[in-house]
Order: sequence, then structure tokens, then C-alpha cells
Amino acid sequence: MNNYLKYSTALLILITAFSQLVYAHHSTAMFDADHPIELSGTIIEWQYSNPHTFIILNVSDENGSKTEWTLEGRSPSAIYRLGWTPNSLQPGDEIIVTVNPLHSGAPGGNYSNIRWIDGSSIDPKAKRPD
Amino acid sequence: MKQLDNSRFSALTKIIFLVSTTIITACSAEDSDRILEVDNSSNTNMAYPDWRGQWSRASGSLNWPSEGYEQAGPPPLTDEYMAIWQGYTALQEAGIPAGDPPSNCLPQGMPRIMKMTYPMEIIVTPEITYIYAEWNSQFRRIYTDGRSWPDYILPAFNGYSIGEWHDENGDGTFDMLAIETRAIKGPRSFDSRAVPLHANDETIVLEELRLIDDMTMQNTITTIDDALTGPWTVNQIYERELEDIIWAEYACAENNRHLKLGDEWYFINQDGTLEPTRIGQPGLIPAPENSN
Repeated sequence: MNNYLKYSTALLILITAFSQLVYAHHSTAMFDADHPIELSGTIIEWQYSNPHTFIILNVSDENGSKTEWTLEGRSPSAIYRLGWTPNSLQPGDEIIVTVNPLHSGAPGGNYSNIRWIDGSSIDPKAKRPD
Repeated sequence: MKQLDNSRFSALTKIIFLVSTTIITACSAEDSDRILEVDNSSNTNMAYPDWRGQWSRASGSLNWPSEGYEQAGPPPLTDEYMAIWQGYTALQEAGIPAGDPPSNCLPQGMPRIMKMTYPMEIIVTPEITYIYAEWNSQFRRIYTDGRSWPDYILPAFNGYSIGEWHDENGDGTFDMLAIETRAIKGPRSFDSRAVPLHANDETIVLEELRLIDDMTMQNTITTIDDALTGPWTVNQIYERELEDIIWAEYACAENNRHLKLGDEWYFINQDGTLEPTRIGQPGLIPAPENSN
């Protein structure tokens, strides 16, 4: 393979395979960025932990069946300086998130674009009950 | 942002230097061999730079070259390692984070740590400059005491670094730290795109750290590695914060839900099941009691 073909092939693979790698400090290969979904539900737990924060979200489908999703967010190192604390979200909060789900279809993924259930933005520094 | 008080810092560094010189002298009677290796005689009147504060990577991609491979072009890998990289790429496309050791909480190692995905602190003393990286709460030690390379160095992910201060503008204050790092342990990759380094772990990394202005630092990083067709130089820019500095703890093992078992990767769900991450992957989820 000549150099032109080799580099062109490599670039094509890179562009198609990794366009989703915007912020992650490591590979997000296990999440399907080509097929994002919107999930709305009630927070069971907000885990302010390393290497990632997690939202455990209770999601109901149209038949009333509930599924517990484990959703990976950015690390404290990425969001603490932006004002997010362990108190920014609480159990019972109703939210919407955009999720890149696991390729396997299991109820897990990484999320972005978090907002309140009415679509309004979340102020991570807002005073919440302790 | 706060402007620097160079006069105050220069005085402080001189004090630190005098104290450390005194300590070295006091030790000379019982450690004369070591003192012979420490040559600060030409540096007696030199001041050290003020590199305090918090340094964060300038905005840009997390690709090894900040401008990204789409703009910078593909990495200069040998044919063998280009094929390895393309193999990793195909696996990642299928949902397997192949070739990216930090996915399993391993340190990034050199040179990737200097991408500074999260901020760093630079602590300058005459004998050692320390670089603290928030990602995985790691320290690099850069020895500037004039030592030679040891006969044997236990490999480490961040390697073993010897530095040399330079006064490029001749004003009597050091302004550039040249660093050579060897004995770097693997596995490592240049970035989360899994651009590989050679499995022989004979990487040598050369760095030149210098300020562009009071609030901006450039690290010119040259990697010499057998996976490459030649030395690969990239420039990483860091931006400084001097006021209201916030540090966060980073303990990767706390709640890492990316689990590698053999060649397979799993995602640990809240209920403890090991969810497959790729289509067709054998599951490790306990079967319900009433299943057939």
C-alpha cells in the first residue's frame, strides 16, 4: 500500500469511528454515538465519583414498565470546576438526558445535555436542600 | 487574572536555593560521592522561574496533536504499527476500547500524561522540578541536580526524567526546562484513539517547557519510539490560573465501571450485572432462577 492510500484509509477510519470522542479522557468505544437516544426519568442516585459521575435513572416506557439505567457522565475533575457538586442533583429529580447507549442494547450508556423534565437548563450551583 | 509578582518570587526561589545549597553542603562529609555529581556551581547566581498556579491544557481535541488527526494528518507510524492501530480502530468501532490502557484505570504514562486532560501544578526547586497531574493524582520528578543516568532504572509509567535549565534570553533567570525521560513502562498509547507505542517500551521523550507569555506555557514534546518512522514532535499549550484555584481528587478505582476480563470488556451496571458492550458478546449476567 502506498503512503497516500495508507494515510487516506487511516483518516477515513478515524473520522468514521471516533467522531464522538469530544470530551472523554479515555475511549468511549463501548457507547454507540451513532444512535443517541433521549431518556426522561427520575433520578434514583447521583454518584459523584471517580473516574466518572453516574446517574442511576428510573425510566418508564409507554406500558408503565420501568427500567433502571446506569448512565456515565463526566468526571469530577471535568465538572467540579464548572460548579457541579454532589448536591447539584438529588434522588427524585426528574430529568431528560441524551444518551449514547451500549452497543449491546443493555440499559447503560454515557449521557450529555442534561436538563430538567420541562426542558429548562440546570443551574448546578443552585441552592438545594442538604 | 492576577499578574505575577516576579520580584517576590525571585526572592523566594533564591531563599529556597540557598537553603538547599546549605543542606547539600552540610551533607558533604558523609555523602561526598553524591555531592560530586551535583554541579550547581554555574547556577549560583541564577534565579528560577515563577511557574506557580494551575496549568490546564488549552482548548482543543484530546488527540495527541491538539489540532487532531483530521488536520494534522495521521501519526507517523511504521507499517507494522499502522496495521496494529487500524486493528484497534476496528475493535473500537465494534464497541471494544482496545489499545487504550486508561480505560482500565492504568496510568496514561509518558508522553500522554503531558496532554494534561486535567490540570497540573509545577513545583520548581533547584534539585527537582515536580509536575503534579490531577488525572490519577500522579507526580513526575525531573531531576535537575546534574546527576547521570543510573545503571539500572526500574521502569515506571512516567519514566525517569533528567532536566536541564536554560536561560534563553540571558536575563539571569532560567526560562526553559529541557527534559529527557527514559525507562517508561507500558502498555501505553498516545491518546484515546489508541495510537500505539512500541511494545519494547524503549521510548525516549524529549521536552522543552517554556512560557509564551506570563499566562501561557508551551511544551514541545518529541517522542522517539520504534513504532514511529522517526521522532514525532508536537506542541502542547497550557493555560494558567492564578486565582481561586480548585483542585479535585482523582482516584480511578473508586467507581470504574469499565471492566476488562481477558479480551472482553464489560460495563458494570448498578445492579451488579456485567453488561456486554458489543453486539454478539457472550454475557456474564447470572441467569434468573426461573429460566430454562
